[in-house]
Amino acid sequence: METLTNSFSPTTGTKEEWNEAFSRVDDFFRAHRVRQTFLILEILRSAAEKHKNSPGESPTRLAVKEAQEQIDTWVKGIMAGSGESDVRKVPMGLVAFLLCDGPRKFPEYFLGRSNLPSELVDGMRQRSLEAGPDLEVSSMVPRPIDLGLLPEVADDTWEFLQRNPMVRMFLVWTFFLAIVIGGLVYFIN
Amino acid sequence: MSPVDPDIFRIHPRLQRRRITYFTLVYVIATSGVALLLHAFMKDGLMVLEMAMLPVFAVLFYQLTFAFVTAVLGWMVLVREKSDPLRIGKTLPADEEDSVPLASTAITIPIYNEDATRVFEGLRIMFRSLEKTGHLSHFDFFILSDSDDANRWVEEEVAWLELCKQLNAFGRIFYRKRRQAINRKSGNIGDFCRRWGRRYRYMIVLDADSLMGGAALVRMVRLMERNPIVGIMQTLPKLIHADTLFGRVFQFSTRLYGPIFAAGMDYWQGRDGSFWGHNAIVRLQPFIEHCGLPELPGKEPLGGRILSHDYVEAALMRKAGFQVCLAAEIEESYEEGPPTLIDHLKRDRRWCQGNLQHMFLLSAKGWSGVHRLAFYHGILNYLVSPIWFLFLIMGTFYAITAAQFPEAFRPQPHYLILLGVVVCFLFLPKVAVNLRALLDPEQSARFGGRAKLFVSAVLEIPFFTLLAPVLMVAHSRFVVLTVLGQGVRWATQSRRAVDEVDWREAIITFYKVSLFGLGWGLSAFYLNPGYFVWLSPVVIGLTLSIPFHILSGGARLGALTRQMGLFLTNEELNAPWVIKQLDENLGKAYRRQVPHETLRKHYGLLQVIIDPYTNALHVSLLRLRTRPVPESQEFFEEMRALLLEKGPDALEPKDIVSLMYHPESLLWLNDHVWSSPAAQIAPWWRLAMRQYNLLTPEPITPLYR
Repeated sequence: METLTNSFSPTTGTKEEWNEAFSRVDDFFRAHRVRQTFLILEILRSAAEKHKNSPGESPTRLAVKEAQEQIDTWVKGIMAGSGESDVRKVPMGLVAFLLCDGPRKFPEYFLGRSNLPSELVDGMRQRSLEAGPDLEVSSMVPRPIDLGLLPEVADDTWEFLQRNPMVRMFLVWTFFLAIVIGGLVYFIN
Repeated sequence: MSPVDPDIFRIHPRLQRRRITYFTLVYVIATSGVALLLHAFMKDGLMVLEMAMLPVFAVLFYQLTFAFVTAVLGWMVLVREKSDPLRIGKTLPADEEDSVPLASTAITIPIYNEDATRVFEGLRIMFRSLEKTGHLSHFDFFILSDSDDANRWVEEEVAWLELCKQLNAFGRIFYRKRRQAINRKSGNIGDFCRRWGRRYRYMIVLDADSLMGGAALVRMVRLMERNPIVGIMQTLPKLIHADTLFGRVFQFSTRLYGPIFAAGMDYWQGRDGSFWGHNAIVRLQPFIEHCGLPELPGKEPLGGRILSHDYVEAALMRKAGFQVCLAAEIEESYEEGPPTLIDHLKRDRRWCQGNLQHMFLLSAKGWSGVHRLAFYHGILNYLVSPIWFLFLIMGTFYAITAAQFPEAFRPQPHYLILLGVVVCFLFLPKVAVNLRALLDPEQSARFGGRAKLFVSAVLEIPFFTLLAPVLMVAHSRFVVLTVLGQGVRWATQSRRAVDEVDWREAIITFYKVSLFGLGWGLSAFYLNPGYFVWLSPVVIGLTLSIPFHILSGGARLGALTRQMGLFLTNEELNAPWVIKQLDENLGKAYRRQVPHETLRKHYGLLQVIIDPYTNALHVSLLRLRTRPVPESQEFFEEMRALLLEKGPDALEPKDIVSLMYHPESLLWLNDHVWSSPAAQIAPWWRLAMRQYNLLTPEPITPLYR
């Protein structure tokens, strides 16, 4: 477990609680493929400020919420000119960041407010997730097949047998017994 | 859309002559065989049992003759210097190929819980291969998923995103996930046709295990452009990637003998050919207009939705006035086969039900005679097993009677003649094919050289001798179960070998077959030892079915035969770029880091909840509901609270899938799993968050990178 550095000294909450919060935010950023310790500390400091006002809240929850809010704000800011609807901006922005190779190429700009490289901003705005082309709907309806008389009779019989399992069982056993009796008669004679 | 040629149904005079020749040969040979047996039976007066055996023999002998004549004619077609003038390939000589423009084509890959690595790596190879031809811009790829396994679903999404990113193929490779897998594969393709069919002139249908070269894809489109009256063109896919003994013997056998049967069928079917549902190109507009499948009367298994849809679609296309043909000369067309006997039987169980359904279609109006015959043969392929079984049982009774009353059953030379004919029919085509290959150094080199080809061809005989009776009993059971109303579930096909075959599964599946074989053999030996000798290949095959499955289904013996140079095919020895590259990529992809054992079972869910990018991707691909449905809200609230507190094992798989269709729940879970203190979430999530980071920073995809 990594411990907090001396540069972060919260006035509320226990050391264990803040250690857990640090570890969780670290995991959270690593899940974003980003490893920036100063970002974690920045998040924890903001969370510590909020914790002063709500000491009953868990530092982990406050810290991760802070991280999520900052990511949402950052992504929304970049995607503002993308034409995506509000509800899709954050998920689409995150996917676009991944598609631009953001975590590998621009980790230091993650959550950055200014001087973002145009390659990152334009790249994210221009990325679109096209899972399918525009619909051009056709009507493909089942073609009726004239099956003739035989299937009709077969169908009626089948339905009758389906409705009457006893009859079905009787026919199966009759068939089986006929074979057995036929064999016996054959050998006796 | 109407066919261009109004005389479409007029049969080419040459094809007419071929059909006359073909059916005359089948008729004359089959009736001669039956007449010979009748004559033998009548020598000592016709008994009741003999009267019963005669029609049974007639069906079996007809089927055998049909295959034999097909093989002989196919062999003759292949040995002739001049290639068949009616083949579709003849319409587009190589020097004219570039003059035919291409048209918009969708390459569709319907999948259901398949190995995403194989599917997307195969797609990558086809994409690259098409890129090399310089004609990629005419083709779009569609992964049409019906997967209902949460892990597979997420794997597919992540692989699609990563592949599009790697190939810069957004807008060229598409992914569509169906919420309700109505009508299985045919419904999946139908759904594509309804959504996007009008955008494309052609659709190339592939299976999850298909692989085609770029040049082959381009040539298929050009052949269709050159022949506007062709509605469906089927290629002859070659089996690849077999790594068990079972798979390798099948691969070798179909590679060596398959072409003569295909050539023979093509010889007399002509433009009334078959459609096997994959590795084929379809003209979309008439397909949409004429090939929508109705339900059959009654309920499944014999009625209801049509399972083996491809044969019916071919017949409907022909009925609409378009031709259906085989383009066997297209080389780079591949597929994979089942690795073990049990996997083979699982596939046969579905095919059996699908083919038996065609009974309804036999007397339907409007089919071409050849397609009606195709339905008949499809049914007979499975019915022939219980018929053969019945014949052998009758034969046992006959032998017992003969042992009791030897004076009444004098041995007739006719029996020996018939036996000779049957053996000839079974082995002559094989001998002819092998002779041709052994005499031609180039051909034998494709199978590892003369000595290896010869030994493989000889060893293949006992393999299929042991296998045939097991298939007979299994198919007989399938037919009976289907007729009694027991349908099949839609299951994912197994395509890869496992290191160790499951003994338990083998014993449970085959112990009855083994006991039956043993009992049958012992009674035959006790009652008539002479007959036991004749019956021994059948009873030995049945008795040894468990060890046969175990030995032939493991990868070890497959690798050993490969090392020894047995059952080799040209695709193994001189693999074209598409296969070589695919093997290389798969080798790397399968070496990827495997998730922690505790997390593996629900890894798809884990990724969707824990990984912010996968969560964002998944949610983006789902329809974002603006208004939540109040009735379901309570259910989702309950499910996600349970998931958070107890972990995924507390939920039913169907509930997990339901949650994965609900974007609000996924966003909520992503939020709460990450932000909840450790004491408030299940230990599974704590492990997941720590372990997931061990696998980053690379995104977890099933792809080669």
